Amino acid sequence: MSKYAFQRLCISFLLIISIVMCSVISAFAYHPVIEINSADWNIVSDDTYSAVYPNMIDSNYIPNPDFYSYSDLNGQTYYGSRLWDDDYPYVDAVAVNIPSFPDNDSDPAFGESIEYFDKVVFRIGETLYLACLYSYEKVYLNNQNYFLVNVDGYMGVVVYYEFTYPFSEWQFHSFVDYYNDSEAVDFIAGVEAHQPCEIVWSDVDVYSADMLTVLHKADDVPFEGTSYTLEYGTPISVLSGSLSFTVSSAEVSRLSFGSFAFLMNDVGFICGGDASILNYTFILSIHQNGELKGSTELLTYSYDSRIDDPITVGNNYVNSYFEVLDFNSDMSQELEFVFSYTFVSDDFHLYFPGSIQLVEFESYENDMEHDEVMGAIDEASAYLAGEISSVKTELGKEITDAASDVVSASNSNTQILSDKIDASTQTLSDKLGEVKDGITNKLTEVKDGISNKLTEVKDGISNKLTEIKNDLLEGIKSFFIPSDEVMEEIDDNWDELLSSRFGALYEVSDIITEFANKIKDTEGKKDTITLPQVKVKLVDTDFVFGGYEVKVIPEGFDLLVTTLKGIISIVCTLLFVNALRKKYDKLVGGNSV
Amino acid sequence: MIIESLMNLLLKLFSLLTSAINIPRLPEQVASFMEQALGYIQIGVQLLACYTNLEYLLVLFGIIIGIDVGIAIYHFVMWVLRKIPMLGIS
Repeated sequence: MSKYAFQRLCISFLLIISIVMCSVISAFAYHPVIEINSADWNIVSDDTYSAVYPNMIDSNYIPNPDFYSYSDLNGQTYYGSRLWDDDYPYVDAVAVNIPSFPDNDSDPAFGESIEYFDKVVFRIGETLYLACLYSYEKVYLNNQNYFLVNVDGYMGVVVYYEFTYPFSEWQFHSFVDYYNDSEAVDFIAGVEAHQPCEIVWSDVDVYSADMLTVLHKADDVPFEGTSYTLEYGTPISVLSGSLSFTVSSAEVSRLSFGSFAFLMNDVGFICGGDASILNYTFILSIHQNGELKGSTELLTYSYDSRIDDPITVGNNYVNSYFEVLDFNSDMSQELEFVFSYTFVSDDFHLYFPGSIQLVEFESYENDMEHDEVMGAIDEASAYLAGEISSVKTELGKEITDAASDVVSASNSNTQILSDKIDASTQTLSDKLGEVKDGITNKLTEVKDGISNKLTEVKDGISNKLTEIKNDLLEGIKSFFIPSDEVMEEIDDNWDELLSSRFGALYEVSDIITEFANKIKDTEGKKDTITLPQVKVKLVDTDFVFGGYEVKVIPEGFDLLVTTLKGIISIVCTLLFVNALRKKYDKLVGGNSV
Repeated sequence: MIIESLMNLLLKLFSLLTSAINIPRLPEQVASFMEQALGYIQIGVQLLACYTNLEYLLVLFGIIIGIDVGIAIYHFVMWVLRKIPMLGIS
C-alpha cells in the first residue's frame, strides 16, 4: 500500500460516505410538497403575503399545547402530536403548504389532467395527503378558495381561506357565521387509511393568517373496523388470502362538486358543488380461492350532496346479507355484512366495522388450518349443500315466480272476466232497457190503436144504431103515415075514379076550385086588369083583340082610391053585421033567413 | 103503408060500389064556355079589387058562408036526430 493509499482510501471512503450522505440527503431532501408560488396566491397585500409564507405555522394557535413540531429536511416545520399515539386526541397537526391555485373551474376531484390534483398539501407522518386547491369563492361564489384533499385514495376536504389578512369583518363572519359559531372552522380533512379513527378534524385559525390542519381522533368513534378500497372487478383479500371480495358496478354516477360547500363540525363531508345526488349501484361478491361463493343483491347507494342535508357516515351504511354456504357449515350459513363506503374517483371504499363476518371468517380460517381434511369434507358438504340450497332456492324462486305469474294471470283473468261481465251486464242491461222501451212503446201503440179502433167501432155501432133507429122510426112512421108521393098518387087515383064515375058532377067542383083560384090570383093585382082575348075571323083572317093588361086607376088618384076603399069596407062591414044579426035572429027567433 | 092500403082498399071498394054510376063529362063546348066565363068573372073581380079591399071582403064573405054552412049542418044533424024516436027530439 502506498503512502497515499491510505489517503486514497480515506478519500474514497469519504467520497463513498459523501455519496451515501448525498444520496441520503437527496433522499431526505425529496419532498413532494409543492412550493407555493406566490404569484398563484390571491394576495391582497405584501404584508399578507409575508405573513403567510413561508412561516405560515404559528404554534400558538395549535389547540393542544402538547403538540410537537418538527421540520422536514427542506426546513418545513410540522406541528403535531406523535403519530398513532392514542394518548393524544390529536393525531397530527400539519401546516398546510399551499400549492398553486388551480385555474380550472372543473371539478378537481375528477379532473383527469388537472395537475394540482396530486399536489401534496400536508402530510401526517409519512402519509402524504394530496390536495387540490380550490378557492373560497369557489365555495361561496363558484370561485377558487378551498381545496380538496385526496388522501391516498381517501378524500377529505380542507377549507382554505383566501389570505386577505387581516380578514375583513364581512369575509370572516360571513363564512364563520354560516358554518360555525366559533372563530375557528372545523371540518373533516380526511380519513386516515387503515386506521380505526376516521373522524378527522381540521381547524383553521383565521386570525393567524395561517392555515392549520389538525387531524383529530375522536374519542367516540362510531365505527370501528377496517376500510378497504375495492376497485371494480379486482378482488381484494380480507383477513385471509383465500377470501376476497370484488365489487361489480352496475351504474356509477360521479360526484359533482360545484358552487358551494358545506362545512361541518361534526362527522360529515365537506363538499362543494351544485346540489347533486349521487346514485350508484353495485354488487358485492365474496370469493374463496378465486371462486365466487356468493353475491349480494344489487345494492344502491344514494348520496345527496346538498348542503342542508349532508350525508353522514352512518347513512353510508349498507346492510346486506350473504348466503355463504361453504365457509363453515357448522356456523351460520348467513353472514351479515355491514359496511360503509365512501366514494373517491372511481373507487369504492368499503368499510367493515368488524361485524359478525370478521369473527366468522377468522373462526373459519382457524378451522381450515387445523383440519384440512375436515375442511375439505365440510367444503364438499357445504358445496353440495350450497348446490342443493341453490337448487332449492332456484326452485323456490321459480315456484314463487310461477305462483306469482299464476296469481297475476289469475288476477288479470279475473279482472278481465269481471270487466267482461260488467260490460256484458251493462250491455244486457242496456239491451233489456231497449227491449223494455220497445215493448212499452209497442204496447202503447197497440193500446192506442185498439182504443182508436174501439172508438171507431163504438162510433160506427152508435151511428149504425142511430141509423137503424131512424130507419126503424121512418119505417114505423111510413107504416102508418103514407108519403107525399103515395098521397099524391092516391089523390090522383081518387080524382081519376071520381071523374070517371061522376063526370060532369065532379067537374063542378073543379070549376068552383078553378074560380076560387082565379079570385086568389087576382089579389095581387090592385090597379090593373087583363082584358079578355077576343078572336074574330073575317074573310079567312083571324083578328085577336085584348089579352093585355090595362091600367084602371090613373096616376094621381091614389088618395081617392084609398078613400073609396075605406068607404066600401065600412059599408061592407055594416052589411056583414046586419047579415050576422039576421042569422042570429033566424037561429034564435026561428025566423026564416 | 096501412093507410095507403086502407085508402087503396077504399078506392077499390068505392070503385066497386060506384061501378054502376057512369055520368058523362061536360061537353067540350060547355067546358070552354065555362072557362071563358070564369075568365070574365076574374076580370070583374080584378076590376072590383082595384076599388075595394078584396081580402077584407073575402074574409067577411067566408064568415057568412061558414055560418050558413054551419046552420045547414045543424039542420041536417037535427033532422037526423029527430028521426030517432028514443031521443024524443021534436
